[in-house]
Amino acid sequence: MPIIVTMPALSPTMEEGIIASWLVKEGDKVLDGDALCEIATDKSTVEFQAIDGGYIRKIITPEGGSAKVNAPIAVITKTADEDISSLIPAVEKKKEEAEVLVEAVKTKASPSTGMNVMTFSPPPPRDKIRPMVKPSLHASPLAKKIASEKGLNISSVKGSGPSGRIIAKDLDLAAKETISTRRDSYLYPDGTFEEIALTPVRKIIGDRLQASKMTIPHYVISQTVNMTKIMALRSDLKDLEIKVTFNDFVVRAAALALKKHPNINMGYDSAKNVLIQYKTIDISLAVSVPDGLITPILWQADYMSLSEISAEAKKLALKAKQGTLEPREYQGGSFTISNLGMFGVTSFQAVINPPQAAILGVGGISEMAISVDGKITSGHVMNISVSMDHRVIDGAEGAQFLTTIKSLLENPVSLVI
Amino acid sequence: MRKITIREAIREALEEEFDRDENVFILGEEVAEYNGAYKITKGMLDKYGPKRVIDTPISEGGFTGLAIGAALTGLRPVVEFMSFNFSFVAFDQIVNNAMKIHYMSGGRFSVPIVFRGPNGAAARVSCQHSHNVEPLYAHLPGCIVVAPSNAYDSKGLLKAAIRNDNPVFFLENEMIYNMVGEVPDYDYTVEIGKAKILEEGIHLTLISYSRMIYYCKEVVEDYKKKGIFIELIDLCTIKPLDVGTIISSVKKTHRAVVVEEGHKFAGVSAEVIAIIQEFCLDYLDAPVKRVCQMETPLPYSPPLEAETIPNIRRIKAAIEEILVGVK
Repeated sequence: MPIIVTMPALSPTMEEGIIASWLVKEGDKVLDGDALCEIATDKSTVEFQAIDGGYIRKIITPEGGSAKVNAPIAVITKTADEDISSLIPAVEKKKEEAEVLVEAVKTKASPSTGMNVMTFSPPPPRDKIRPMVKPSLHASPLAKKIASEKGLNISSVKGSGPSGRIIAKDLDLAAKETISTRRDSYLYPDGTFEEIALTPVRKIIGDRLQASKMTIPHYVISQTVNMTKIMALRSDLKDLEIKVTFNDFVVRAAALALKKHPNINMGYDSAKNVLIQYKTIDISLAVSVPDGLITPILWQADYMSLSEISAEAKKLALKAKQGTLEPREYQGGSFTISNLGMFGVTSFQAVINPPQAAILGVGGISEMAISVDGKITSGHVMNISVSMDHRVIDGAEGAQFLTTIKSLLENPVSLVI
Repeated sequence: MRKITIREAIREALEEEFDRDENVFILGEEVAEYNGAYKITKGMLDKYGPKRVIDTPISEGGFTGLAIGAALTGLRPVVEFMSFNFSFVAFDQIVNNAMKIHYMSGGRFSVPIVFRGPNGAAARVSCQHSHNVEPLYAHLPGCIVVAPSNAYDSKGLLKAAIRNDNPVFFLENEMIYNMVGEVPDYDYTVEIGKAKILEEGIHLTLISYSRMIYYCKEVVEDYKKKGIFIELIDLCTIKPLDVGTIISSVKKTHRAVVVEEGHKFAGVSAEVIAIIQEFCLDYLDAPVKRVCQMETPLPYSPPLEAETIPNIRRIKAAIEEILVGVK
């Protein structure tokens, strides 16, 4: 009875393999365990061994050829002269089917953009080399208590109490719990994972930001802002019982800067391949919510005073956290501000929120030694960076815009008049 | 210090309280003319006269009810049961009147009464005359149950019992009436509700009371020779139970055996062990054992009687079971 050797599944994600080289030729005698060929997968090249011994009668997939998993690659018989002629057409047919299938899969998997989308899947969990269910421990309550308090590995000792129960005295011989012994109590084997389906929100975030990062030629420029004056101003306002956040100042500065630089207040329509010139300054604020993030909008922010911005931003953030934003409150916008300052980051590069052409990333304020008029003094600084779509905004334009924001923030009186 | 028997200690307690408070009197079968079935009241009729040392008919239900009525009117009766087995005849008076009137009257009446007499097995008096009544009475709210093991505690606890305004069961044991112990000649009482540590130890806590304490003492001495130090607790008072002393000791020794002369099921040892597991679970290095009277009416036959009530061999066997691995 001939044995049909098929393409093995060498990894859970493997769909097809390429015969990198045959280590045997037709007519060779092989024993089980002998290497037949080397198979290249998307991940690595692996030697493939014969499961059954016999004679190599036919090599179906030549070197460099590919075959889908479970497609025939060779025929082995127990005797050197067994008739396999009846088998050949069927094998050939199966091979063709498999190749067609591979083609079909290839075609289907190709992204419409013509770009190769990389796929990632985690390796399967490592074998269950340890028993995952802990055997019930025959130990006295006192022994368990002491072991837990002293970090002793109670299962490393033999019980000398009644019926072999581990008693407190036995713990004198117990080893301190170490990493290796503590592994016994792991709940899962190494590399255990579960798959979590995307929520609609995560799907939208993923689609939009993946498209943004993949299709928009980002560039990022940064500035360091001296916040000394703004801190004094904020403190003065506080004395007047006017509470504004640092982010409110940034929004106000960005609105004024966008007014001065309308060439930043732009977008790009990838479908039509046209530039968008926004006529109004509508600032999207990135707000973190439990299952993702959302960008409610301060419409016509350049017409708003600092206190109006403050009140509106506060209201929108609250609605975002409560999940009560209406679509008209977050759909649209001409420019986005993302502030991670409250988390203590020094600076970061934000991903553009398309079809907008720019996003401002705001870092935290930190106290450090700064040079003022040639003298080292202690001051507060904040890093801001703006990510731009180079299809819309060139570097010099972006730099001028950022300098305007810096200048406004460093001379904050301009923000309150 | 002078040494007297438990019998003498009980009599001294009675006489001192008779002298101290003219409202105290004793009644019971043979307590006066015959000087008491166990000679506890010897000489008291001559000393205090028939108004305070009263012989009663063989009628526990009657004289117990009479004593409860006397207590309600302000006297402080001591009822002697010839043995506590006969208290069952007066069970309704004891349970429904003595133990309940304070509650049922909304606290307007107290029943300052002491029920005393020998309790537990004697020698070959068979099952009807060998009951250990402490779990029966201690089960019910509204009373105090004391069971001293020595002369000092017998005198001090009886004096405290007579002065107490609640019904108190003062449980004696015929087999230890002649046990001699040091008793001071000044006026003292022993606080109700306090257990005593008779021996300090580290390896195991042995808990008992009354006559069984003498068996336990022998066991403790034997183990001491082997280098095993057992802490011996004499409960003295069954109710209210001295929970603090029990749990402090078990937390120190991590092992316990409870010895109870009476039956196992729903006995005093069951209560003590429940308390131990409730408060000391994480301190236990072995299960808590109990040694009790076998689950059978106490036989008349001397060898069977000796096997049915706890004995030194059975106490040691229980200790051995949980000392495995200790030495």
